[in-house]
Amino acid sequence: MWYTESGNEGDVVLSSRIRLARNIKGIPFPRRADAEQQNKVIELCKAAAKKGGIKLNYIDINSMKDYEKQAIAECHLISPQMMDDSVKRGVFLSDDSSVSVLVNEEDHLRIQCMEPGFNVQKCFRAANEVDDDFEKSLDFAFDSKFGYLTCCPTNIGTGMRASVMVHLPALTMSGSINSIIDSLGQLGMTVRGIFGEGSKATGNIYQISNQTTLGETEENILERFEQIITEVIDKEREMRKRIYESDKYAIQDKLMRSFGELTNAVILTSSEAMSRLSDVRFAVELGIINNIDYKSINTATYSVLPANIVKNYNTTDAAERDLKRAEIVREILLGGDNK
Amino acid sequence: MKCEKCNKREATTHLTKIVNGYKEEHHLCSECAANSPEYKQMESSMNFGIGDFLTGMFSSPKKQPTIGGDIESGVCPTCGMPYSEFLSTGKLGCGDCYGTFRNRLERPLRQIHGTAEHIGKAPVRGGGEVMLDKKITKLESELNAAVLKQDFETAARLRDEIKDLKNNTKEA
Ligand SMILES: [Zn+2]
Ligand SMILES: [Zn+2]
Repeated sequence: MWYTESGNEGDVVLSSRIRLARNIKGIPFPRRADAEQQNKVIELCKAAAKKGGIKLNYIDINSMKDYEKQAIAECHLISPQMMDDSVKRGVFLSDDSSVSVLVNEEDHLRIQCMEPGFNVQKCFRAANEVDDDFEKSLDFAFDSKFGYLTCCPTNIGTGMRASVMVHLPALTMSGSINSIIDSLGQLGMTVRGIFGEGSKATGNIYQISNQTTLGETEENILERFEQIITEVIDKEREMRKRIYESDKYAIQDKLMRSFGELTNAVILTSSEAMSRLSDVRFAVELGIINNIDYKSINTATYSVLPANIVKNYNTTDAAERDLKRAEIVREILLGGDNK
Repeated sequence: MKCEKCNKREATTHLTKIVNGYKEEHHLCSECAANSPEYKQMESSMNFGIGDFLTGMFSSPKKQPTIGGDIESGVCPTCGMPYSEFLSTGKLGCGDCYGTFRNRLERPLRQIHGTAEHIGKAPVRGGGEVMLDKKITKLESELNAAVLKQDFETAARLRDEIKDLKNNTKEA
């Protein structure tokens, strides 16, 4: 899966994503549409997808169990808003899950393309293609002045959001993250936790995305976004070096203790797993641990999430889940089949 | 119950938060609560959502001279949404709402995005005329610039070009 692979600048950037918001002309947005209109949107999208050049499989979200929905939300394939059943919703997924098209989220279509590492350009090309594909059969709500029209006025224009998931342990440890979040805000970027809106940064993983969508071309937005993210990557790397040089043994000790905890724990809660995994990732980034790759850590990071455990191991009991979680992490870190 | 942080004062604040599907409970005295990261986080997630800013922005009558006078009235013919509902939710009802409420939306949109003019991708389907509109708008601003610079040769050329394009749209 794309989200466990490691890509460009993989020591800082876990993954990149482009999201395009689109709506069909003449039909109210999902929250204002009646059931018949919601179904109509789904049928129109299905027909459009069938004609398109990219193979997409449709999944009816409403018929999924709650933990199944949560599990794919944990892997960022759908947004948490999709879990609310008051609207008829669905998702188109490509075979490798790198393309997901959310139907009847806040907008009729949310085209998402994701890649491991720092590669928003590739995501953009893919998203553009999917957009062109759907547009061949659908009339999108568009205004020559306001651009693509969306339910929330903050998304109009290009309807495009670029985002990256970044691991910033050094900037967090040093406390500089707060002023960075402020500066990024002034530069038109939003910083959130790994699980999107309002969530705090679990395991030092942050999601950075562009705020404004109107008045610039997609290419310009992306260019600026890339410049700013490159800055963030440089700052994080510089801070890692400084922190490590300032107190080498203390850092080694802290990070290796986390490794020891993860490889020996019998009961492991998800928040503990996330924060210790961040330490182990940091140790790999600093070269303190050499025999574990980013792919294993990414795999561990996603497989410890509650709904993913329920889905993969059928354990609904929280205490049982904590035991299972310890087992999964131990296996991955001590060299299971991920080597 | 004593505060779990200082173990001295009585716990008066009881926080419940959900972390990755897990419920965590905290019992703190008011002093410790004010300094706890949970509380600070809660504070920062309180009423500062984009919706709250938006509705504030769009409803402020001082910033918005309107043509019709009565600012809260008006209903979108396609989705039936009254403007007043937008003021409370911060969300539009359908694409046509933008046309219906265009005059009231333009200024606040400019405040959010720094501009109210889209220059990015446009749908090709049924969008040929859209692209043409864009081109005309762009040429018109070039024409104004040329006139300001007293470059009348360029201005004359641009004027002809615009005229041709406009004739095309009428025929189409
Ligand atoms: Zn206290
Ligand atoms: Zn409407």
